[in-house]
Amino acid sequence: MQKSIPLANCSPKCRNFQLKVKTDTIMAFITYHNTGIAGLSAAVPANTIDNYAYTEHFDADSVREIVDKVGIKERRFAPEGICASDLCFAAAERLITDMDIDRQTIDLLIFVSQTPDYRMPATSVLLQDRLGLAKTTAAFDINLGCSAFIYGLSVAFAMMQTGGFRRALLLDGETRSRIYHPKDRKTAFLFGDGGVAAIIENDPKYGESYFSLNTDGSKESLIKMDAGGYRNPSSVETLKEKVVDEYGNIRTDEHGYMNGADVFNFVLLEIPGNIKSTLQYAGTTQEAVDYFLFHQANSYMNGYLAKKLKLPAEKVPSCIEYFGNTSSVSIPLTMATQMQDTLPQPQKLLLSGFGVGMSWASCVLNSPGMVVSNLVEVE
Amino acid sequence: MVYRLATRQQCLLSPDRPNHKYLNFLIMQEQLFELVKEALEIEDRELSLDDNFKDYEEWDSLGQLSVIAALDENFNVVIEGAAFAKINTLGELLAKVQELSA
Repeated sequence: MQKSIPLANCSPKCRNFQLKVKTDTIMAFITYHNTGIAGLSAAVPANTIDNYAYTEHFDADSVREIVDKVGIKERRFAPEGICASDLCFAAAERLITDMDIDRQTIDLLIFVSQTPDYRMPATSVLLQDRLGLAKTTAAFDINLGCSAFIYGLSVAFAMMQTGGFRRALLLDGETRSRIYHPKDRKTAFLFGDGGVAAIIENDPKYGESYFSLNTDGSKESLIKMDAGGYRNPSSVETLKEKVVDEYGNIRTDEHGYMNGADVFNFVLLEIPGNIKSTLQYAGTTQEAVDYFLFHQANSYMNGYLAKKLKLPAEKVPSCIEYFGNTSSVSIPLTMATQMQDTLPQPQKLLLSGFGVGMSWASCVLNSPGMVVSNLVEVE
Repeated sequence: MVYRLATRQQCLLSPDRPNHKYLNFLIMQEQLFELVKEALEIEDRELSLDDNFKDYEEWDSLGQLSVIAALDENFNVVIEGAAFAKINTLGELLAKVQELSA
């Protein structure tokens, strides 16, 4: 039986480029009033990795091909003994000093990370003491990846809206370099370390902000670390190096893995639509937004995303070239390192983070001007 | 074969006028070959619908990213990871693109 072959979609010129917004999908949309980011700082390890010279496990030509495509020239790796919390601590100390903040006015401390110091207690609890915050401080961790800065902002904004907190300190740190195996070329050249601190305050000058938070746990295996938790506890077996695919990539079950092509598919299917619907919910347009801050995954994917959304390059700041993919840290790290001159002035920002989970979140913020500290390098 | 391709014979049922479906199919096939060659940087040979493209020497995870981007850009089509894993030949890929863009 002959079936019809579509006549449309044949020529790129006659195709409708309009992005489809999934209006039938239920999404968590939230509006907050008069809460915003007052200051931001970032810290990275001083230890800089030249990505072209990272490993001799792969031949130089294939390393060059990978590094050129992902657009990551350098990364920062925390030396042994330095944790995500140490980077956040350094960033927080700098920010508290620069903003001349009385520590006793910080009532809420949130630490966002998937590389905590210990299984217990929560790293935020340790940081409350290290930072000299009062015992009346509420402190807890949020365990999410690339979407987590926006989730963290949303939780901090929501709690600040209650009026029960004077200031919130949102810390977001990752030592992603330790999660991936240097002999797995699918992930070896992508990830880096960093930590940020943000001070959240209430003030009418911030106006309204709009958030969209999303989850698809059916895609849990796109980016995952199989063992080392309580489902598959750490054992001699899970620590053994093994060849995991037809390309000869090597890792253990306690290293992370990622199916990059499926992640790219996921991003194309979900993110442009989510950005459109968040803008729609915020009652604004793409043109009215001054800067779009995307999770820094790799420059190929980010470049394509910007092209698909028809965004001019000057509206899409990027730091992927210098720090690689730092998971949830990548968005605020881009703000702190690439927008030190622009963020002190009023800006309308759109932030969008997407990744491990899968979990993704976008927000539109009115930023009337924020304090941005100089980048701290941790030895 | 699982893919829905109109054969030349089926498409030439009305010899008195140009058959748009067949012409359209040929254009789409040509576009697909071009984008796969460009994405995988294949310069030295012609492609065929029966090719198992995942067996190409040029096929790897980076090449796959380029193919995904090119399919989205040229056909406005994104194939879910699980569905893509089941596709082996360029003919099957073309059928999937036609299905999703219909």
